[in-house]
Amino acid sequence: MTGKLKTICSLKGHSGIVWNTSWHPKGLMLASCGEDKTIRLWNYKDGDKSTLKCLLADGHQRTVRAIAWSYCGQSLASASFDATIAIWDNKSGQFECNATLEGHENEVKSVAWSRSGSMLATCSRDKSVWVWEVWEDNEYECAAVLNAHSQDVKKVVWHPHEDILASASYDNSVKLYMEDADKEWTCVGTLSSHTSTVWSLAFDKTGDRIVTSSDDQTLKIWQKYLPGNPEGISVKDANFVYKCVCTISGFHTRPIYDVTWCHLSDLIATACGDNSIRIFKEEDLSDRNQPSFSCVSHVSEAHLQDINSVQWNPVIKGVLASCSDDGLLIVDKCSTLGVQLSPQYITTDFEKFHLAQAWYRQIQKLGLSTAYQDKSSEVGKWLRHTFGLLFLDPTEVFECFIDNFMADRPTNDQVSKYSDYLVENYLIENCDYPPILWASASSSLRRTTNNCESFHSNFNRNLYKESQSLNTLVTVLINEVQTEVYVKLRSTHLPNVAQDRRVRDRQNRNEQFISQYTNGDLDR
Amino acid sequence: MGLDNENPTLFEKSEERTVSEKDLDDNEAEEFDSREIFDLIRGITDPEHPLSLEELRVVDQSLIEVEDSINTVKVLFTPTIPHCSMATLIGLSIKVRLLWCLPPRFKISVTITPGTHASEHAINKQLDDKERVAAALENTHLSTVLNKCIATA
Repeated sequence: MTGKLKTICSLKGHSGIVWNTSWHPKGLMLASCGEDKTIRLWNYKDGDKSTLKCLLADGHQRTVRAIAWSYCGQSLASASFDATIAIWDNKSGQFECNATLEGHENEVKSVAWSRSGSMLATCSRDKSVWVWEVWEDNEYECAAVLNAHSQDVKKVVWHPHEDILASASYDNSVKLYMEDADKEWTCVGTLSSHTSTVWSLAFDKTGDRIVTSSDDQTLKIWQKYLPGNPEGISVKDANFVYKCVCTISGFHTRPIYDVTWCHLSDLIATACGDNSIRIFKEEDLSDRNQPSFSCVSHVSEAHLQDINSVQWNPVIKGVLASCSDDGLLIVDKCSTLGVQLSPQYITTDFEKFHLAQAWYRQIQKLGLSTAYQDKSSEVGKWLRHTFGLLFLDPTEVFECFIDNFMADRPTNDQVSKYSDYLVENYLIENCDYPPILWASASSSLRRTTNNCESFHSNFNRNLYKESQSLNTLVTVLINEVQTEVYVKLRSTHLPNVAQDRRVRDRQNRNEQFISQYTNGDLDR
Repeated sequence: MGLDNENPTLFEKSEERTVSEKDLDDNEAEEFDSREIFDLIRGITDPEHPLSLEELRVVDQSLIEVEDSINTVKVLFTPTIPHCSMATLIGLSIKVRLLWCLPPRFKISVTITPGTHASEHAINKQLDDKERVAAALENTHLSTVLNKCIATA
């Protein structure tokens, strides 16, 4: 399976390197930052209608290296080479810097909000990772300074659900931190296996897996194991351990500067120094403890220069933002992966066949099926007649039911329950399935409008086998019937396709009744 | 503070590039070659001595690899002594000179000639870290020193 990335829009504005990008949690706004010391907010619209929303230029004295939206979407944090972190919000109606966090000795490389929004993490070339507590009124208090790394710390990322923090470093390792029983932040794990700087990392949607990207041109997948795991992975005294279960090498030809794991599609995308974006997918039937991933897409010149960051849109599936040394922020859509399941249009295909089934089930449920089938029973006759409602003009249905059906409804508790069921669900105003969906004064009613099912049943009938593979059919057609094959699925969309006699008879009978009714020869 | 290498060996400067007929033909696409890269960096001044990197044989045309078609430039440089504390700065000046002069399509790698410096690996890693290079260039003190070195190139 291969996929394609199609560029939706290319956003120009930054001068020089664009270092980082972050999607607003609602997926309709994008922030970017770079060498020009600015932060830009862009309105994201499908197509090339994305526009610059605002420019934040006065927050930092040097390169803005990283930005992050809080999960609530209210605040934006920016980390700069000027050793500070700025917090922006638009409570006043426009985006303003409402707090500046100082403490790091030199360049701040990354910033991340915890899931709850109550904590912020930052890291720097000064080798430290800081955890800040977020209080009301733009108060930030340093809760911990973590010195687990021996070198420059490149990236901090929070676990998607828990207060677990991960940091990636120039010392080739990733460290994990948690609060211990005494509320002290401590390093609870080290992931070492990369042979050069770890530039970035991302958690999958469950948080049970981490992907790391490195200067050594590989990606690694780490799986979480709890104490007493059936695989027998040693966890020692810790709460958990992340173990490297897969190394993806041989694809990237330069450092991998960023990696993003889509929480909607489970696809991994990478930003590489070879100007490429690659997308990886876990193979079907892949073993949790030894997973295999394949590269399903490779855009070799996605940008003109190094790509510094990639981010999947958190809401709109398959939309990927990337930014580069070339000064551009590009939004791509990954469209033909066969994994994009969010439909653009939803068509409600209301089925008379299934509607009738639902009504009949209600009849069965109320213990009325015997009466229904008894031709001489008054109750049965009344019940059978209710199905005639389907053939009325939708505007007449309610009136007809009240005037005609209610008037001669047999006195029977179960029958009145059934009529309540019809009224509540199908007849009164604002019900779930109003008559407009199911009634129509037409004779050419097909028994089913479920095209897939209808096709499938024809298909089965013609091939003398249930669920025959379509590939088998095509092979037979190509090899034995003719070289050029036109397959038309015409069985369901044309009103007058070949019908068997019973269907024709029923239609004729209905037509007769309807015309009699229209002429006034037949009352309700 | 004393100099790392008080008495460096001096080498001859090479001849100017000979201009051929083909070079003057505007219709002829000219690929970047190692001589062209060498010409860009040989005039850089050593941070310690008023001498060029060519005269100290820190850079040498034979240690430059250019593949124009795949946009790569690889430069090896040789510190004058294995403990030279200026090696990072020299490497940085070569890298910056090339970053500023070459078209952005080029991927530039500047590394120490294997076996010629004690901290070869650490320096190579630092020079290869684009983030550190970018941050270094924003450092006013450092960029003043770098500008002085590159001014003569």
